[in-house]
Amino acid sequence: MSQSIGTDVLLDYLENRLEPARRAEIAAALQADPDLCQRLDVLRQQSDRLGKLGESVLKEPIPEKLLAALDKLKCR
Amino acid sequence: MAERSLHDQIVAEIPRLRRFARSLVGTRDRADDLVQDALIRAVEAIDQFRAGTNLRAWLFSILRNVFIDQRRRDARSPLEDVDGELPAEGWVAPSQEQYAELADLAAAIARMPDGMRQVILLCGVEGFDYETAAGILNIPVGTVRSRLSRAREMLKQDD
Repeated sequence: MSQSIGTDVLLDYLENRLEPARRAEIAAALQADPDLCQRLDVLRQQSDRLGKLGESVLKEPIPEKLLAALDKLKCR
Repeated sequence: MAERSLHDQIVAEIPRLRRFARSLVGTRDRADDLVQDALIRAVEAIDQFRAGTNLRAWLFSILRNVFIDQRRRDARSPLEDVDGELPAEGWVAPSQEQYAELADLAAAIARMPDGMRQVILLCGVEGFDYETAAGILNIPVGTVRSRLSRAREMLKQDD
């Protein structure tokens, strides 16, 4: 059973994209299958790390030349 | 509540544009040049932006188009001429928690083929939904979905 559930479907489950009936099916399969559970867990950790990539870039001050590129829009 | 001006809304998107650009071209200076060109193009095309639509997606799609145009012009891979500088400069700060894991992850993403890398950056890092990512990349939603799951499997093997 678990091999027939692909990574795409596990991602749909993780990110709440499934219809309730399909979601319940996957939830049941997860309960019955520790390997599937493990695959989901790996994906969850991956998602968590992906969300943290580049956090430091977001905190950098914006370079002046980038702000200057928008000067023409100031009055809009 | 006063509505923010379009100018201020675009300024608020610059940090994310810089992050995406840096993961595309590697070094800080080249990434900021790319963002600058994208902002200039956005200003020129501002009348094409429809109020109420997704400004972030619109800006990302402009940035990605500028990136593609530059690559065509340069006729070289942006990843090849930064010799071993990957993962992208400053993309993961040594002070960040889980630095080692994140640096490995960034390096694995940097090694991916372009199409897959862009999908994982847009969906995995920036959090765009499949439809929006498909719009930015100008590819079918099904392609986003399949590339993303292949990318995720590839990362799993790197663990």
